[in-house]
Amino acid sequence: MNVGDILIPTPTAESAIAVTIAIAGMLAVSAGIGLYYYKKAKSFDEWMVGHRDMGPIITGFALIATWMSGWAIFGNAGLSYTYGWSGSWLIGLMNLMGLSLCVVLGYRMRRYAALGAKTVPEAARIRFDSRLVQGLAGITMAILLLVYSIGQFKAMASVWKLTTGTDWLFSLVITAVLCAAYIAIGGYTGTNVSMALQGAILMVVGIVFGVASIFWAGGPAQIANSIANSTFVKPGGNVTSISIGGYTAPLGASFPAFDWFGVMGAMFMFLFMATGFPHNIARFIGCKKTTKKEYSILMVIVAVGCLTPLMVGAMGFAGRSVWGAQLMSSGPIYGDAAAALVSMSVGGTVGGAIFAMAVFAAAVSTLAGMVMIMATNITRDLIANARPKTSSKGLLGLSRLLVIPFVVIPLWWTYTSPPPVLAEFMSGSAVAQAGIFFFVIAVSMYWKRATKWGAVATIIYGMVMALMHPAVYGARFPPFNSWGVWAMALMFGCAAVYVVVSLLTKPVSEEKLAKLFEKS
Amino acid sequence: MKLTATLVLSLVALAICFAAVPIMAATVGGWYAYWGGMLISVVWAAILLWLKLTKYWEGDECG
Repeated sequence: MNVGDILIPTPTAESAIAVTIAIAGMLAVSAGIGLYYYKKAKSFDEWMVGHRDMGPIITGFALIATWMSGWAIFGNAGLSYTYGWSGSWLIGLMNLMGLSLCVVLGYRMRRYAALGAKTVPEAARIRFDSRLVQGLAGITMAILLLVYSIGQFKAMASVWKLTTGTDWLFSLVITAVLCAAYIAIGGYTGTNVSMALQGAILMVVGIVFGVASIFWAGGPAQIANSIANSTFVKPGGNVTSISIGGYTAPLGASFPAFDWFGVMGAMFMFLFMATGFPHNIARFIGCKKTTKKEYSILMVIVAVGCLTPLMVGAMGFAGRSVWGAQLMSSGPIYGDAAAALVSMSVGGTVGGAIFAMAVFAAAVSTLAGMVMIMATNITRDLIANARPKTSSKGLLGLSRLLVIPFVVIPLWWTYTSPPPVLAEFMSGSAVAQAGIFFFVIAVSMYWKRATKWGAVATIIYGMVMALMHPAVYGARFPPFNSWGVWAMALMFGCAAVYVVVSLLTKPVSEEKLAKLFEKS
Repeated sequence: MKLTATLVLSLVALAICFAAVPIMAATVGGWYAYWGGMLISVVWAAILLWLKLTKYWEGDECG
């Protein structure tokens, strides 16, 4: 097969109708589930964590849904399409290593839930007996998640534009309206059950389309041959002579796979961030006590789910093989359009609609989870933390109002300055979350000697280092213009600060620690 | 003592898995490294699961 043998699909009236029906249907069912659980709950707290009776299947699929955002189901094809094999590191070649570590470490969240934690920063307050740590963790999470949520809007608006043919601004507005409506009528908490449904949808759709796209492009050998002979084309269409046929590509120091040091940075990012993502580890707050068999089922679901990002990556390789670099000339979506267009070419109108539904399922579940966490960061971790007597009704009302800024701010950012390659942009926020919260939250649940000042110093160091990202201030301060140096300095710097400051300061009393570290 | 030896051996196995992914990418490359990375990750997850279930199980606490 030669480049250009299969034409790039364009949206039609039929595809627009099919996409609208598929997305509206999925959101309606998800919101219906959310509404059902909202009405069933006797209080706001119960709504957030239920009766801590979620089984391994629900927890496993919900974890897949929050882990795989627009990045995984949409941006990954953009990475493989744009960067060839060197894009594989941000696709998450070994993302299962990170998520399985989250399953192993995150399970202890149940212990904190039993002691009254409803949010991840509340778990930090219980661990360190410190409202300061809770407040600081809450603000930090809100900032980093706000950046991360931009990716969800770009993913949803892009797939909407590509499958319906509407312009970029309208696509953004319609996706924001759909999201806000979904969140307002019951999906606000993104209950574990509706998230599990979304996780199952995106997992099955991603795997099916990944396999189908490989055959659509003429088979694995044909794709490998095409990628081996491809060179990097910049967003906008400028062709370079840099090969994308290897697992590193000298595209500039700010590119994670520029060298093997950067590759190690990307690998450690995936290892830490699955546990560091607050919307991931929060899944275990509502998890029930499991048997060993149930726990194994949870791990198997996670293992199969982690195949999805690689399958979506395969769609990008297939698109590059069939269409060459044509998509790199078409902004503002560029190579990120690969997954949606391949799904339309492989599966026709219905296939495109089903894939668009999966993108929305991935993005909206992550977005709802993040909006929930950001809103409670403000209401519970800041306001209720500072003024414990604030009424729960007032907090609930304010939480709902906060949905508006947490939807509008990233929406405006996406419109005025959409990131050229989605996943690359989001990795900046991901590294900061990985470096800070892997240690402050996860390691602290297992290391008795961790102190509140160790946690505070780690958060401050991590946030200052986040500003040194090569695309922010790092370019002016070598060697932080190198993504690998920046990422490793952030993550392992956080580790060093956390350990050293903890060892130099006084831990919580043995009496208080005893209930957190008791042996089973 | 026995538990410590098991833990050290498991950590070594995990480190080998982690290192094997870029080594395979640098040497073999292509699809083999792509799907091989996933396979190695499955081995990693299996080791973690085994450790959790047999040595560090905490499923029966805090109902």
